[in-house]
Amino acid sequence: MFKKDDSSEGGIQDTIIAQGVKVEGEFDSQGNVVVEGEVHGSLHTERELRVGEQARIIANVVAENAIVSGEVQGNIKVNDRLELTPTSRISGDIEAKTISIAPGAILNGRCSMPGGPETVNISLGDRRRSPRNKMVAAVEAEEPQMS
Amino acid sequence: MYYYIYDAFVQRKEYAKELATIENRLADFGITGNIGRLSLFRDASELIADEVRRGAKTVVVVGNDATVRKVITAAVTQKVVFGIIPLGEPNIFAKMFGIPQGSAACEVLARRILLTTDVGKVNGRYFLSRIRIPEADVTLRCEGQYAVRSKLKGNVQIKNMGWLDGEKETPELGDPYDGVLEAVIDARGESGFFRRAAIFRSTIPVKTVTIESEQQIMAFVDEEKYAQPRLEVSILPHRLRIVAGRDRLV
Repeated sequence: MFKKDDSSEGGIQDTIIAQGVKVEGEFDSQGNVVVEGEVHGSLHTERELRVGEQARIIANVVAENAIVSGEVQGNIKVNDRLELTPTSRISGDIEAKTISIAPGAILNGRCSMPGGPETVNISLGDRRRSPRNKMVAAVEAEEPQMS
Repeated sequence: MYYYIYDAFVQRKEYAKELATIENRLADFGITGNIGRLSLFRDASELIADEVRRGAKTVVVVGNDATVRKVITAAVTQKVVFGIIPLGEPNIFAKMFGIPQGSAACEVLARRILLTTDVGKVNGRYFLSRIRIPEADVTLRCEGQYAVRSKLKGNVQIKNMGWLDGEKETPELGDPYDGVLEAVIDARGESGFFRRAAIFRSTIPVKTVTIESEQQIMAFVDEEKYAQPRLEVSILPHRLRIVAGRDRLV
């Protein structure tokens, strides 16, 4: 499920919140997390987060890396790479070192990429093949801080 | 110094020959010791406490899974090394720790491969394998920080070592050395275009969890029925030293 170097190291187990399960409160994990159900409150993991298509998160999210395919109402802060797939729906701000936004993704919020002049990788894809492309209703990219 | 606890049923005539063979093998290996016998009027905690005062360091149960359940709390409390000589059925604990039936277990005992396992605690009693709540309508309050609830009907387990579920192809084993319990929710739902029946499994590592319900919770702790209005569950990491065999499953 996760990349080999992301799999449970040092005995840290993965968390799976499956369909039909709801978590409420401050959820904190040291391992990888997969959400297919619902999370309300806050979600923090020191490793990778995967949000499934049917998942619904009403929480601020903090992760090392994240791949989002479902709904997130809240801010997402990722230390390394954030990927929004075509079925993702985000209402909130996103922040990551590297961001990949696929055609079909819905993002209503601010987008920031802190740190030095790293490459901004925004993948819009081929609009001709995606007539239902609803990309970017309101994305405002902040300019990286210049010293 | 070894102390052997015989369950009441192994003292019946049908086990006499096997018991004599076991006692001879123990003598061959030089690991004999005092013998205590469980009965209606004597429970394990008294027997073990007395023998520990006299210097016993290893307590060995002679019996089946029910015998292990009767003795485990006292063994954890007294911090002795725990051994099993399986006699009778069922003996899933022994199987999981790679201990063969009858007199063959004496060789495992003599070899003395020690494992230090986590122990689960629920409402003041200890468990090794798991807490199972079938058809659960419960809320899990984890680490005092968040609550987990399934909207779909299903079963809940809090796993330490797990169990060999005879009906399933894949054993429901856990990791009893990682210092963590596993909260597992198997919710029944439908999946796919044809809405086929499916089980959605959630797995959450926890160290403490309180299980609450509006009704009495019908749980099985180490496969023994345990009905309570509320379950306070926690993990005691690396708490029990147990003599295991090479063919262990955990």
